[in-house]
Amino acid sequence: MSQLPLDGVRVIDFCWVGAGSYMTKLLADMGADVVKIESTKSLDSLRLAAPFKDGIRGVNRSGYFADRNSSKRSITVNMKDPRGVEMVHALIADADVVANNFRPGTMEKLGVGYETLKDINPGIVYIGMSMSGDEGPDRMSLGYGITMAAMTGFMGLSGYPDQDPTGTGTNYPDHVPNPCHGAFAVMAALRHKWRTGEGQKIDMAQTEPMLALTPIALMDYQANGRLSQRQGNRALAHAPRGVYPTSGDDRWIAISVASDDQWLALVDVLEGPQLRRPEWRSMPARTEDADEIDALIATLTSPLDGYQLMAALQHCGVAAGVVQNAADLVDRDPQMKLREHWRYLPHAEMGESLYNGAPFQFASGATGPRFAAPLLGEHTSQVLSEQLGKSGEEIDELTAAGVLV
Amino acid sequence: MPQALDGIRVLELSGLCGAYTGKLFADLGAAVTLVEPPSGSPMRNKPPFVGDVAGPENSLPFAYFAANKNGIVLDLETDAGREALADLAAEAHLVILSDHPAAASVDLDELRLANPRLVCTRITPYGSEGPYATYSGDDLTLMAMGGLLTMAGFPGQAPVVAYGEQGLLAGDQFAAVASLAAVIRAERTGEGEMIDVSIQEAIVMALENAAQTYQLEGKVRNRTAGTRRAGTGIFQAKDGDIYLLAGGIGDTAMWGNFAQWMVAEGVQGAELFAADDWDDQDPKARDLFERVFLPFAAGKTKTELYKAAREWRVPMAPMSTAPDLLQDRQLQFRNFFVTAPAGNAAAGILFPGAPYKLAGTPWTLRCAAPRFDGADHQTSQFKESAS
Repeated sequence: MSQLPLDGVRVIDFCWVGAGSYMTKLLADMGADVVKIESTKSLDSLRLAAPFKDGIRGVNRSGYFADRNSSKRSITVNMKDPRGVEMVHALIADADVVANNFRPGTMEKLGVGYETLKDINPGIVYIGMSMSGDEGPDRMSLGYGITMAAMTGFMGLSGYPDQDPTGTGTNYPDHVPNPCHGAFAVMAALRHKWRTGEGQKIDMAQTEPMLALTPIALMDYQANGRLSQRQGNRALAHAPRGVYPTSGDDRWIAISVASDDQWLALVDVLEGPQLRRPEWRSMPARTEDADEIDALIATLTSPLDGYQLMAALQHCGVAAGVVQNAADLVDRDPQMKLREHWRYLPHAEMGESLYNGAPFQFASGATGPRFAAPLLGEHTSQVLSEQLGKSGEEIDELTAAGVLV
Repeated sequence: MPQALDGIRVLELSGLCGAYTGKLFADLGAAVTLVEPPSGSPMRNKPPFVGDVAGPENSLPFAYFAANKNGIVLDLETDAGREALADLAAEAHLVILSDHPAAASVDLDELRLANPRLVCTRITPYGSEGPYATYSGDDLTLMAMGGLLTMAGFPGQAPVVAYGEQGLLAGDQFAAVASLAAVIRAERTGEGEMIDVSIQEAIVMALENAAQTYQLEGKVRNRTAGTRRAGTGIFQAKDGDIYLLAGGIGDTAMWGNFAQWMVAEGVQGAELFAADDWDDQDPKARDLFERVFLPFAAGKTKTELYKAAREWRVPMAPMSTAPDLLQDRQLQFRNFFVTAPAGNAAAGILFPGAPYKLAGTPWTLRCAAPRFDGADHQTSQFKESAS
């Protein structure tokens, strides 16, 4: 099997909670050796975020933490003790990447700011992922994915026009935009380092990838003076486009019609004479009468099985998809099964537990999680003996002295 | 200044998805060539248009997503077109293939055989093989099948999809991550790669803790808008809305910060939040919270609340609109928005710039999206950068 793409890359990871840890997970799953710097004195709060194995709270039992920290090693170090900082410096001297998602200034307070580290290791690629960036009047903002969704205008544009915005119901920027942009920037900087020997600092404000992914409202406002409004499930140049009830409790199907031919196919599959109005054969008329059409479609879909309807519509070239939930995806979705998306990895406290695999497949071999998330401090001895040559005795002493905790 | 991806040559065979993958490469210095069919890239027909007038140089999405790229028109339904593609691919590092109108005529395996260092990345709704491989999908239907849609909206109503086709863009982003990982490996080892990206699966990556909540606790996450705990949600300020997450996520001290802020502001009834028996998850807490907080918030602007929340370390943000963002002092300080270059109808307006600042190899906007009238459609540009 081919080597993993980031085989040999060493990452010292100060990230915690959401987006940062997800970013370094992407690197770790692709082969980088990611050492997570933790402390029992100042926990990554995601370790105490639900869900927990058997519903029992504990620092090594969170499924949320586990999925964000696959393929990583964890060491506990007290960064308030100079001996702790010294050891971390020694690890960084030999590393390729240092990552954090603290507010600006925190890394400097811990003794691991970029200016210090570049003297120790000029080739280091250093990424900071604060909410609003390293400089500027609002640099000290703090936030979670969901407040960033609000700040960037993304939440305000998501939902039905006549109701409060709904967003995604999740901390969306934490899960795709920021991890992916952070990982892309780190790999680009690694390439530059391999070509020139030069490291560099990357400043990624977590609001900015989300803004880069939602340019059109801003552009439309300037070009056409239009203030974008929430559109529900509708979209320009599509009609009908909506989510309709099917048989079963709270079951729905999404249907999207992008052409007049697809409309005729939809009408045939739904066998609804009330939809066969000649004027509705044209997109503009369907757009005009979207409310009426949506109501008629809902009447026709509600007694039908969603999966059968999806298959029938797809057979005729109409985009349709059942609104699937976690149970559908984990237990039943045949495409997820075929692509082996879900991985069950053994974990000392959680047993066989569930991880996301990568959403991309390499023909040369597997990528995706290599091993389960670490217990808190699981690899302290291993990393310090392997990398820094510390003996078991020294490690015990440093632990007793409150340095490796 | 050098750019991090200088010298990387990318062929982008995109349609309505795949363009952001190419953009991430182009903006860091790769030479990205958009291969358009004789009818033009489908994204040229994507609204909204400048002045609401359709036209190949008028699409706002195209102006943004194709900036920094060169263009070439090839009829991949013909032998000559495919030969031209093969010539280009022989010198390329990466081929991105998504919903290009002639995607079925492109044989990526053949391109890889001729150039073993080549990375080929195929983006499809469900992946290239399997029971759903032939299914079509747009953002809405893929957000449904990928499991994010079920969590968005109000209980008891049809779920409602997020703004801006984020599902399709999730596929593009993971495609970029996988592609760059493979390209930098190819540069080190000489070994290329064939990558198969499923947009559905990219969306599954966004399910937060839903899959683990199901596996570990047997609970299926669903829509919760409007039913959240006290101190969480959208609230009205004097000049618009704000979003507050007073409790934070996981085991944090956020409520304490919020309570201190309210007490310091002299908000009537705020001592309630600082009391030992305050439980933000108690069903009655939401009403109590709103009675105290709403009158206070209604008297302050979004900006005033955002500033105070920052000082008190409370997670809160304004619900920004487009004009708010264009005037945002932090984004202005960072020169986040950049001016669309001359070359199409969007010239002169601002659009998002660097999503990250690489100090040594900065993100750079070099040129506008390629024109369709032929000015930029020259094979020679690509060949020059290849030599």
